[in-house]
Amino acid sequence: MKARTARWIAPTMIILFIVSLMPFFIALNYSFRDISYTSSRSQGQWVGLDNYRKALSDPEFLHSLGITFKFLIPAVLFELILGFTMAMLFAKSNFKGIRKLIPILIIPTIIAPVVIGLIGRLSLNSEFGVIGVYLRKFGIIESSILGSVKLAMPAIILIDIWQWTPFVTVILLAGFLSFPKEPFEAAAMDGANPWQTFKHITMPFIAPLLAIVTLLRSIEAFKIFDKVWIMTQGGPGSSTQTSNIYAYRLNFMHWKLGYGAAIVILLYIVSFLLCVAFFRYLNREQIKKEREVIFYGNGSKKN
Amino acid sequence: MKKKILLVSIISLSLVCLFFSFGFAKWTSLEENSKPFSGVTLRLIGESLPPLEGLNQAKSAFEEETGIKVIIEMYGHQEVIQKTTADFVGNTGIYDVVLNPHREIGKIVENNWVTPLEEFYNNENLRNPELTLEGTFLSEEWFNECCAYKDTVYGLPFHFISMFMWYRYDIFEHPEEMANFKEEYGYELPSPPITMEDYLNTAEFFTRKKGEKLAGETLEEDFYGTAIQAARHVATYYGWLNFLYSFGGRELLIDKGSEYGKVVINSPEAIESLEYYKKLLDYSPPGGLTYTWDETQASQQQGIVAQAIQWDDATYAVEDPEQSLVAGKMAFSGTPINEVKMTQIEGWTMFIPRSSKKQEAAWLFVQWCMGEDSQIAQMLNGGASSVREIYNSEKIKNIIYAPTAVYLKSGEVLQTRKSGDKTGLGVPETFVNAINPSTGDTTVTIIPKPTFPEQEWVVEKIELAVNSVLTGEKTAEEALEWCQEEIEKELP
Repeated sequence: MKARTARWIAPTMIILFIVSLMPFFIALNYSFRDISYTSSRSQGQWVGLDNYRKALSDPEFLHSLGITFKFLIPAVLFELILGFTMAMLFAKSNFKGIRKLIPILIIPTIIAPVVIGLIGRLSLNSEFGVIGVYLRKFGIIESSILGSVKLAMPAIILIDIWQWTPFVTVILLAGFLSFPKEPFEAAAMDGANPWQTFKHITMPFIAPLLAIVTLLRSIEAFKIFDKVWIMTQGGPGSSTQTSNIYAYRLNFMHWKLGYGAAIVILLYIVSFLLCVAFFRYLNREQIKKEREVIFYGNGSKKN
Repeated sequence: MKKKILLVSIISLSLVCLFFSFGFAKWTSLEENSKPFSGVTLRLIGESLPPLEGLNQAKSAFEEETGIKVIIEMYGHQEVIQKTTADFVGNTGIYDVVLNPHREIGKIVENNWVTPLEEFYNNENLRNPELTLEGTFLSEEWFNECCAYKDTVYGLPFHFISMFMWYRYDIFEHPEEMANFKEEYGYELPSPPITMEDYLNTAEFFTRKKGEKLAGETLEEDFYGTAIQAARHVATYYGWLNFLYSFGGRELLIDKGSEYGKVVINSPEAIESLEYYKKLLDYSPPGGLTYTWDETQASQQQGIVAQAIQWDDATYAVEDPEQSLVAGKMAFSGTPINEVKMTQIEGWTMFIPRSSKKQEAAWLFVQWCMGEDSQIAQMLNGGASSVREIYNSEKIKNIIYAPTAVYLKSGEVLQTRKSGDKTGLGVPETFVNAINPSTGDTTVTIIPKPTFPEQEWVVEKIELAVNSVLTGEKTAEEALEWCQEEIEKELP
């Protein structure tokens, strides 16, 4: 039976190895070498951890990592707040056309990021963009939004919020609509006020879903590339140069594949640590129980 | 035994004779010599601009004559470089002819990705005797920079291009504007601006608000004295180089692109030129900080800009009445002079990758591209042919920008234009007669750019430094000092 199962799984595993694991191991190998197609000094030689040491003291890389979090934190936070509020309002309103509304709501989320970037770039253009022209006309801005060090990142964050808030809304709305009615009815009978109901019933129910959405959005926001590339290419200056844009420039514009691979691996590690932290948070109760079992034995803590 | 040896020798000799008589005869005609390759499909990649579109239209003549099919892929500037480098690195052999900007030549040669031209050029069976590298091109210096690296030729020029000034002669030569300028600045309105001081003054003079008058007409939207390339984009590197060189600065002290000279990007001339470049932003459209070549061109097509420094192979769009509101109102001159009357060498070169499995057929196509039909087709689509002879053609003579483009590259004056002429045709007489302060005569200094493998890094650092000054993040001195350090660290 096991052999038969293995035969069925084998093709999938082979494809997974070729398209996913093999490139990862190649990148890992590159990251320990001095491979560059734009340097007359580079011979592809083994350099050990040099690329990693260089990356950890590279001001441009550290700056780009900071930029990534400057984008990630406000973008994800606002998406969660707005998405949560909208989902709750939709759920409470008992609006009958909600199922028809969902496909419309989700349109920005399913559009390709490159198109979203183009929409952002064109609509914010201060000479002919539908948003940019009016902002200039009413004196809110003097020149271009995406050409301003102060405004370019907020503009990208706003575009991201516009794209991803519906996704958060739809996921949380599904959660709200699946709540059992009994606890809420019981709370009402016991005279709980809306805040108490929200805090003690709604939140515990929605918390796991909220955590998953936060995790998904954080990973996605950490990987951001296409929108920023289309809108600003990391400029003006390096004010929107996220770590993925920096990695892209190193790998595919400067063809410094060794150092570029080390940067990519470091980004993978940061992303992995983020995931681990979230999972630990999500499963904190389970982890706590397991620890108790280890320390006190199975079900014998209090004895 | 002897009989056997004799028989084998006769058969071998016959086969060799047969091979040479049918497959690889000495050059008789393209049709004859391309017969062994009939049915082959070639794939070419290049930048998506009208001249390549012109080649795409003209290639059917080659296909009919040879039976070789040619597919031309067109992408944006950076995409072409990325796709071709990926093809080379992976040794995939997707492309048989690769067009790349000449600044890439060091990278592709040092990595052994392209075949030296001599392998085809010295082959009597593949070379059309009409093609010769001596005396064919507008400028030998240009050819050596674009097509050769360390004295070995690796490709043939798709075109020689340079940046020059596009200006609206209809407003520069309007009597009312001329009178107002004289009153305000105390000297005649220069058409075109010859010096950097002229350029700044005219940029300031022509910057007007909606509702004001321009050349006797009330403006329906804001009008700008110039438009510069200022985005974080390779266009900003090229755009600023015109000013850097004109002010007497350089990136490195070199005579040839392949040399590693002393890095001088933080020189006083460079700082002065960058401060000047930033001043021009005040007279540019409000989105200036996001401008690349495309936006600069679009703003000129919309008729909201008086003058800009642009590529000579992009003039087609601005002179086409279907795409441009200013067609017939433009004239073309050299970059204004400060310390040097100059032009920067640039060009796209046709290379044959080592990874191609159809190199000989690819060579036949590249060779055909240098012919009259192909070159004229490109010129009629806004090209910048490198072949001197093409400019004698009746079909080419009336192309407005061609005399200026030829003058800058070769020093030859095909036709001059006087201020007040009814068309924009010809190189402005005042520019031809302008003295080059660095030489003391009227010649144009042709400036090569670095082409060594690290050049892309140099470009990126300059692009970032210039952009950070334009956005106000850094002063010119700070940005160029940082740039100097970064480039010095990278170069051997």
